[in-house]
Amino acid sequence: MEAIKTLAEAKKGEALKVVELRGGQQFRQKLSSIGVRPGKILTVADIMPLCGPVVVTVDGRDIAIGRKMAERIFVKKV
Amino acid sequence: MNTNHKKKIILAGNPNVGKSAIFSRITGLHVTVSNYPGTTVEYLIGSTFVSGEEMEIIDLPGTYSLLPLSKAEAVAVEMIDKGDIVINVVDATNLERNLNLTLELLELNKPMIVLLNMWDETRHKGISIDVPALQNMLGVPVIPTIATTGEGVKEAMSIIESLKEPNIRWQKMSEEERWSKIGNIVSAVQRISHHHHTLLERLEDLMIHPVGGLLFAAVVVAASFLFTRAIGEGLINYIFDPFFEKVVGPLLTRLSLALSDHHFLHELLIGRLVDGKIHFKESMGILSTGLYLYPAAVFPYIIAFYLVLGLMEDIGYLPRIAVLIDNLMHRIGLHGYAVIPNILGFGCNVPGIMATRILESTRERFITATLISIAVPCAALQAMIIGMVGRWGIRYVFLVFGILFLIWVIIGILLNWLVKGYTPPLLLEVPPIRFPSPRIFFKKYWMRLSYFAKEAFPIMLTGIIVATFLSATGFIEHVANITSPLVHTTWGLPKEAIVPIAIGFIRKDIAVGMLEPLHLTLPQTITATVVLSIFFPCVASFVVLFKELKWKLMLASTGIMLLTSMIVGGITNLVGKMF
Repeated sequence: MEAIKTLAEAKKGEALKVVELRGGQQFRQKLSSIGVRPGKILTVADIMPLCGPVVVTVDGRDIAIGRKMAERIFVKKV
Repeated sequence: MNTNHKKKIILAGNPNVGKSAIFSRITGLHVTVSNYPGTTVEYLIGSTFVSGEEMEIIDLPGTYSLLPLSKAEAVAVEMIDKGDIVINVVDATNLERNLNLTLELLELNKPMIVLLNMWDETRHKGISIDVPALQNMLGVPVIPTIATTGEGVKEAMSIIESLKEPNIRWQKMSEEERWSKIGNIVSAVQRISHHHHTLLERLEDLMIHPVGGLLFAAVVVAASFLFTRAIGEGLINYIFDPFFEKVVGPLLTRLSLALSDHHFLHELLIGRLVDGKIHFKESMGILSTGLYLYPAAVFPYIIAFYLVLGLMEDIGYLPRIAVLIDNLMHRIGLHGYAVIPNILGFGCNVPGIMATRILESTRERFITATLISIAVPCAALQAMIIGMVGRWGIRYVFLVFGILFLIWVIIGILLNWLVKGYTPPLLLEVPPIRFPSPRIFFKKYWMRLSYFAKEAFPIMLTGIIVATFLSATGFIEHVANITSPLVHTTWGLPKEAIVPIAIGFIRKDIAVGMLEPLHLTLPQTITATVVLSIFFPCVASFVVLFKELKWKLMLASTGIMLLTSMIVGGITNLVGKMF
C-alpha cells in the first residue's frame, strides 16, 4: 500500500489515484464536476514553478489546479 | 413584458463542447464562439423556425453543473428554469464528466434532447459510444453531431417540436448517487481503445511547459503585437487617411469658409485651424476630429487586434497563458484568468474592462479594471506613444512601456494588500488545441467588430461633442489656468500642457498628438506620455468602468488613477532633471 500524499507534493509524470478531497462542499463539487473526484486516476502533466498551478490529465483532458487547491487533494500512487 | 409566448429553447452544456457553434448553426446569427470558459456570461438569444413556429433560442454560459458556483453558472441556472425545451450539448469525447450536467438537467423533467457533439473526434481518440443504449438509459433522444460541419444538427432540430418529457421519471439524486449512476451508464455504453500521441498533442505539451511554454508565449505575444501594428498602420496609411484627406477634407474646407462669420459654430463643427488648414487630429471639431478619430485612428487597430485575439481564443491558446502566469498573477491578488481582460485591454480598454465579468469576485474585478485603466495602453495610445517618444530613439519607447509595466506590478501588489477579500485558486480546463472552422471564425469576428462599432462609436462621438463644447466655451482653458501651477511644479511641464491632458479624458491618443506643438524636451515627453496613460481612462472606458464597478468603486478607481499619475509624473520629472 503506497503512502497517501497531496497533489501538491506529486511529481511530473506520476499516475495517481484520488483518495480524498479535503474541503467544504463547494470545493468538492467544483472539483468533482470538472472531473477530479475520489477514485479517478490522474496523470501529472506539468507543475508550474513558483507555486504555480499543477496541470493534471483526467480522461484525456488537461485541468489546471491552483497550488492551494492541490494541497487539499489527497492522492496515492497507482 | 413579453406578451407573445414564444417557446424558449435552452442550449446548455459544459464549457468547450462546441455549444456556441451549434447555436450559430441553428440561428444563423452572428455569435461568439470561443474556447475559453466564460466568454458567454452574457447569454445570447437567437430565434429559429421549427416547422413554421418561431422559437427563441438561448445560449447559456458553459457550466459543469447546476450548482451556481460562479456568476456564469448562476446565470445559467436562472435561465434554464424559464426554458420550455432543453438542448444539452455533450462532448462525446468526454462522456463521463459531461453526463453530470446531463443528469442534473434530466432531473428537471423538461422536454430535452442530447447532442453528442464532436462525434468526429471520438474515432481519432479511439472512443466508441453505443448511441441507442445511451438513449434508452437517459430516456431522451440522443443524436451525434459535428458542430463545425453541421452534421446531425438538422436532424436534431427536426424532432425538437415533438420532444416530450423524459421517458424515465427522474428523481432528485445526491452527488454520490449521480456519480454512481454515471459510472453505470458509461461502463454500459462506452468502449475505449488505445490511441497514439499525435504531433498536435506534443505541441500542446510544449505550450504549457513551464520553460518552453513561456518562451513560446513570448514569441506569440511579440508576433501578435507586430502583426496588429502592421495591419493597423497599413489600413490607416493606405485606406483611411487618404480617404479623409482627399474626400472629407475638401468638403470640410468649403464648410469652414461658409462658416467663417459664425465663430462659435465654426469652433464647434470644424474646430480651430492649424496653419490655416483643417487638421483631423488636432482641430477638435465635431465634424473634423470627431468624425475622423474613431474610424481612422482607433478602428483599424481594433480590426487587426480582434483578428489576432480571435485566433488565439478559438485555437485554445488563451487559457494556456492563464496557466503559465498564474503564479505571477497571484502576487497581485489575481489568478491567471485575469490575464485575459488585461490582454484584451491592449486592443481597447473598453472590451478589456467588460471582460472582467469572467472573474469571480468583486475584488478581482476591481483590481483588474483599475490596472487596465491605469497601465494597459490601448492600441491607439501605443501608436501615439511610439510616435511621440519614438523620435528620440526606440529605447525610450521601451522605457515608457517599462515604466507602465512597473506601475502595473506595483499598483497590483498594493491593491492586493489593501483590498480586502481573497482570490480563489485557479481551477480551469485547458481545452485541446483545435482549429476553428473559417465560417464560424469569421462570423464571430464580424459580430465582434460590429458590436464594437455600435457600442463604442456613440460613446466616443458623445465624448468629442462634450469636449468640443467645453473647449469652445473656454471651460477647459479655465480649468487649465487653475490647475496649471500643479502641472508646472509637479510634472515640470509647460502650462499649456494641461489642455491636452484634460482632453486626454476624451481620447488619450489625440491628447498625445496635441502635445506635439509644445516642443517638449525628452524628459518632459516621457513624463507627459506616462501621465496621460495613467491619468483618467478615455471617456468610453470611463463609461464601462462605471457600468462594471458602479459609483463607489469607480470613484475609488479614479482616485487611484489621479494619485498614481501625480506620484509617477512627479518621479519621472525629478529623475528627468538629473540628466
